[in-house]
Amino acid sequence: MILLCLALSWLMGCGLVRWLFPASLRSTLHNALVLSLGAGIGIGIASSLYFLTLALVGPRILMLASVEGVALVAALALGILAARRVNVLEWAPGPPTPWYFTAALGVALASAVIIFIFSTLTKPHGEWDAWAIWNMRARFLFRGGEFWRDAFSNQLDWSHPDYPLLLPGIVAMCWTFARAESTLASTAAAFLFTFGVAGVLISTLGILRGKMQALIAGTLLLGGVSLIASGANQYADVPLSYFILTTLGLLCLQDRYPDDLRFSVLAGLTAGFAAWTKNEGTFFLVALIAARAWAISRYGNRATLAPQFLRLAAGLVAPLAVVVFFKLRFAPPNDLLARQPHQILTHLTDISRWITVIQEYIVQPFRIGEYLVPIILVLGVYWYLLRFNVEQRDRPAIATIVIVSGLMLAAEFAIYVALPGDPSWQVKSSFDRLLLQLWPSGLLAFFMAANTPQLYAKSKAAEKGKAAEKGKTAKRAVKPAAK
Amino acid sequence: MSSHRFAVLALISISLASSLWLLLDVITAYTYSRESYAFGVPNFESRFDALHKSMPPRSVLGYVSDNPGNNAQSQAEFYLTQYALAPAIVKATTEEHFVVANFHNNAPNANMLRAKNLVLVQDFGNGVFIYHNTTR
Repeated sequence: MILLCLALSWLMGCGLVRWLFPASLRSTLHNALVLSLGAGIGIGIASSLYFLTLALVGPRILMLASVEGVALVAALALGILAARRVNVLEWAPGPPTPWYFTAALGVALASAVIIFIFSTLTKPHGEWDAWAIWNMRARFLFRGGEFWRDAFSNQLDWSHPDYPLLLPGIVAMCWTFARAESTLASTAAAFLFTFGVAGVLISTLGILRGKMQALIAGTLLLGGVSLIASGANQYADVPLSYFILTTLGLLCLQDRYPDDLRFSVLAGLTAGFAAWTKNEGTFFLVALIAARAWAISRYGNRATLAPQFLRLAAGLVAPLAVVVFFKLRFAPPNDLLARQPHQILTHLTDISRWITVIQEYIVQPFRIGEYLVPIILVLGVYWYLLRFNVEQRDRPAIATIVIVSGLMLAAEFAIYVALPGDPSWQVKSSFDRLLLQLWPSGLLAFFMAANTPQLYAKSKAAEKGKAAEKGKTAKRAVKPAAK
Repeated sequence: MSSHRFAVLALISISLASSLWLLLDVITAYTYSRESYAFGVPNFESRFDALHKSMPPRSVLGYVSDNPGNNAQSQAEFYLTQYALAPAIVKATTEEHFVVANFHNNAPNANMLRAKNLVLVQDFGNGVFIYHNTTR
């Protein structure tokens, strides 16, 4: 029953995405993107509806079933009846991709799935944050009955009761329909988000840059220890990284298809679900608006700014309303923001805190992804050998990703320095997960900018050919003169 | 080998090697967890199961433990107790009418309990007890 609930949520998301981006039901890249987007969007909608039903009418399973059922039927009807439109998303043209790239992705995927399964069997309740925050909140919502609001009690301030409810909501919804608790709910949701990240990255890059870039990026992402381990540990950073990547990926597609503003609507929806996942999602939202406005003004067509922002707002309004309702009505004050200004000022003027945080900001990026070798160095070598070649049309999208990441890192820096506690411990225990939130989007930007290996080799060969040709012509010109 | 091939090969090899390394790691961890007594959530779940089932839906409990105060282990066990007993609220104090005890043996320190005015209400086994604070 739990798996059925999640599958229906996924189906609901797919219905909604297919309504916006219809295509024939075949095994295509377009449908791979629809499926990848549908997972997170479906979970976001189901979780929001669960919370709203609970908040407005209490724990009434029939009412909840009606609300979720109507949403599912509506999304499916929209998805099925959607008229086919012009833009069917396909692989970007490029040279044929050798079979071993697909094989490498297959090995990375198989390994990641096995790692996820074994990690889950070892820790079915997830790691510390998973059970101490997200799954515990789900227990309060499900087990608490009429007293579900106890989940936000001040007595539980150590478990951050102000955190939003996307994950606890979907888990408690599954338990409510199944009328039983099982770690399967949180595990399956974590699985969908973890592999949804890979799906979104591969399909978005496939559309934007072609099969080879997509396969290389997908292999690199799935080969990273931190994404799969954190996903299996049921950390909320993976769902957040999913929504950040999805939002930014959709905006990249928006720049490729500037007349089709449905990408911005969907990006607004996923940005809203980022805020419904973790408090950092609200940071992301603010950073996104600032970055996008600047990037379009600087690199894009300023005339598209207003229409894009209107569509972004249209997608954003519903999930953001849920977040605001939760924050104003139920969530206790945030433990970090409820500090006195003089405490913050004292920390800001403490130079040792700055040094500690700067040190970690220098060291931690070398551990990003937790590969056997610091991947940031490997990517540096990759860039040196292949170079970037950013097309004009991709500049606003890449600038958006870079600025969003920079703003989020800067905001977290300020929090580490200004707010209470030992900054060294705080950075060491959480900064790697902040980097994980941004890592898939960073890979998207990197592989959008990097040259495709085969094309780069061809252009190099062509350059060499031209140079040789020039040399021959010069020799021919020199010989008669010598005579 | 051309430079671009080297770059791609290096990236993919490192990714796959990292993934397979982690795979070995998690399989070892899984085998170890099956063979040994593992401290963690499932252990707490089973220890506190009887108490959880016997509690009304809304309760506030104090907490006492034989762990040394203020170390990571005692903090983790307090959080695990809260997780296992949710939706009851467990407070890190003995100043509540009922107090849940998380002990590591079935012979708790009588002097400590007396000093905290705690009188046994029920023994749930596996070091889990409910006490009554006589001053509340």
